[in-house]
Amino acid sequence: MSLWSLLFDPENSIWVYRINAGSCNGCEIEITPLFTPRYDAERFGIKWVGTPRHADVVLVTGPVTAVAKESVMEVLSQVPDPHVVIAVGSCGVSGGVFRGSYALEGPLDNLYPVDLYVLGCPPKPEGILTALLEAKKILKAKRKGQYQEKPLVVDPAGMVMGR
Amino acid sequence: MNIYITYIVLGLLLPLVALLYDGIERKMTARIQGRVGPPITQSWLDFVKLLTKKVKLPEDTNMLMLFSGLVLMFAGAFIPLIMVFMRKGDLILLMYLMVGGTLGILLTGLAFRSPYSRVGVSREMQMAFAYEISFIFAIVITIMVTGCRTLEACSASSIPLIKWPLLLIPFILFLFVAPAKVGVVPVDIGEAESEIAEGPFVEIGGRYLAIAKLSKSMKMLALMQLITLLYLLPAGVTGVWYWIASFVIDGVLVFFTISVVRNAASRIKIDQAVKFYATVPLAIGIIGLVIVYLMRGWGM
Ligand code: SF4
Repeated sequence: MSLWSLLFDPENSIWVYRINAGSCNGCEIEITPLFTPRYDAERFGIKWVGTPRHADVVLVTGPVTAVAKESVMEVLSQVPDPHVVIAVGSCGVSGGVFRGSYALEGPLDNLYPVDLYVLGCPPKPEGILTALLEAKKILKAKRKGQYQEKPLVVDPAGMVMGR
Repeated sequence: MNIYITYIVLGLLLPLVALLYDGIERKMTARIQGRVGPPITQSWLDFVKLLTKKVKLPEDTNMLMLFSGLVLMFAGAFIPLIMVFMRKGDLILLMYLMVGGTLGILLTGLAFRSPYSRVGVSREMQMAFAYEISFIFAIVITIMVTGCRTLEACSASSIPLIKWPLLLIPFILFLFVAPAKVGVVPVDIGEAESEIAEGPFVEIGGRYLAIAKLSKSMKMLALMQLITLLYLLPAGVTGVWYWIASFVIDGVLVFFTISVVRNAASRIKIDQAVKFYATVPLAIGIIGLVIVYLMRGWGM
């Protein structure tokens, strides 16, 4: 990292909030290792926060169930701009194994604009970490007002597609 | 004229140093846990980031309360920071100012109707009742032992060696109080990040949160420098060496009182914390006060 980015780049600080919109918890189990010594997302300035009002990035796991929809929309409406929404896991992307169920209102992109998709059931921590690092670039574009609505897809191995 | 320039320069630089110390603390925590950890400028980067974000507050926020809380919180950390580094001012005043910082946190939390912030405020208040009394004891004992009330006269370098064993009592009290006053893990019950989402700060964001975080870092550095100044600074250091020695000793103190404590213990419950602070440090404080009083009778 250059000295400039170490001192003045707001993109080097990303606070992540996580929403479980009816996921099976598999995705949560894969998100948690990001903050263990092996992946250590904090070295990129990524930090957990417990409230949407502090968040820059929101990870949404699970298909949005009918019960969860209202809370999810409420929480997303509390996130201050600029922010990035990431749909994590096959469920978040398309509904996954639950697609077509009567209990679903999702997937998420029917309800709220999604900037990044992470594939896999569950996705690997590498994939989620890649998505968070991509989110830095999207945040930068949003801060400058140059963001084109062109969602990116991160595959399970951490490759970014759709650029 | 010169003194004003010094104050302005210090007022601009010391908050940055405080944020740097916060970053160093995070790096040390990460190293203890076997991680690489964030760059030491991370807290400063967080601060810059928070300034660039838009503010979104709940509609029924009590703005007057929020602003007065933030101002109190900032003043309760910024003024003590300048005071302890300039070695100017009165110990009793310093004590009141630092309590004012806690009051600022309470006011900030009360500006919102969120149950999380209410729970945080209530816990913060109970914690304050539990540890502030030990803090007051520590300062009172120091004043009784050294017989002076201003920071310049009280600094460790100007105290005869024979009184140093007695100063051990307030020093130990300070070590007990420091984690609670800064708000780190075993006793950060009011702001429990993973449990009630930073308690009083749960609803604020953007630049308001930046001020809150900055105040917290400044409070940490001010407290560390106060301990350094009163008990640890070797005799006869002045000029550049004063600054170098202070910053080095502050770093060591941060490591031992914050990082190690934080990694060695998990969060305790509010009743356990209150019980602890109402017994061990308080007992040390009372016994210490009695000892110092008796020693004074013998002409020490
Ligand atoms: S993507 Fe797979 S692991 Fe994740 S919530 Fe859906 S079913 Fe569970």
